[in-house]
Amino acid sequence: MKRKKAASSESTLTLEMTPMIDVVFNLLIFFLCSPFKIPEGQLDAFLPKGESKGAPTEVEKVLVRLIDTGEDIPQIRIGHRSLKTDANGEPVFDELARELIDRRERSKEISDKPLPVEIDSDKKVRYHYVVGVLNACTKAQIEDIRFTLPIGEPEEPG
Amino acid sequence: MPRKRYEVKAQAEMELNMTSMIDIVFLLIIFFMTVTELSKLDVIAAVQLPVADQAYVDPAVAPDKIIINLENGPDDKPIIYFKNKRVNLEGLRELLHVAAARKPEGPPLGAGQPAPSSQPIMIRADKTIQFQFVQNIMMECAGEGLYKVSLIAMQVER
Repeated sequence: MKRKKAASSESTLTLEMTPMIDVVFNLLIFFLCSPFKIPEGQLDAFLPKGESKGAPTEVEKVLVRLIDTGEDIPQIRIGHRSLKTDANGEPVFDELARELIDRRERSKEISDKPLPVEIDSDKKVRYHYVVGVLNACTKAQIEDIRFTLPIGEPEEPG
Repeated sequence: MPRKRYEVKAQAEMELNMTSMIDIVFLLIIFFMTVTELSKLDVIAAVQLPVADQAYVDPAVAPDKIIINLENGPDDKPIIYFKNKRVNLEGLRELLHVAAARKPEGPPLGAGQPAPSSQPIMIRADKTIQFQFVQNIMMECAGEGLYKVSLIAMQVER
């Protein structure tokens, strides 16, 4: 009898490997798969629902021009003023957002209607600069954003 | 005596091993979760998205949203993918026309205008492509009455 007792206490001491491996595999698969969640988000493009020609408003619209300079970086203008650039020549979009907030505040004193901002980009300007301008408009809580229609025939994609 | 011992043994054999069953169930749950998550993404890996910190994730976005990928192809011209299928501008126009007709939102708001459609469209365009190609897609969407167009961007730089 004494011997039997000793044997049973020995068996309880052994590590159960099977469930441990199962759980470890589960955790492994979970952490391997979790990076699939991509940090992507959306920016609304504010396409017109019906009227494509902007309705006349009493507030003067702000025109943001993206001018193709032949280089990779375009020149960005708000009204008649050029946007500041950083040491690498890249436009400072935070400056654009600040300027737009300032103009929105000023237009609020004149009219209740939201300040219209029109983004007019040259054809060959790289897309991420236009997204930068749209991002700055969203940051400045501009509710009325328009894109200027292109002039001339569109180029066929590949 | 022998009868009793037999009964105890049979009862022990009938016990369900819960640990391994839960493990397998968890594995299956994780597997199906990842498969459904991945199948929802119409993602072309070669597309390098622009960065916009104001990009947001809309939890209410329809599961039947249409994703148009624009990859930078040879000669600075984009390759268009509609729901992961390569199309040209003509083909895209037809597909957008069908998609718009599936979700009508009411009569046209003006003479010569297309009937508005509530079908959401997401444009995943490469940051280095020329803006005119994104503009073409936006104009095609507006021409079919699809006004719920968003641009996809990364919320943080990767």
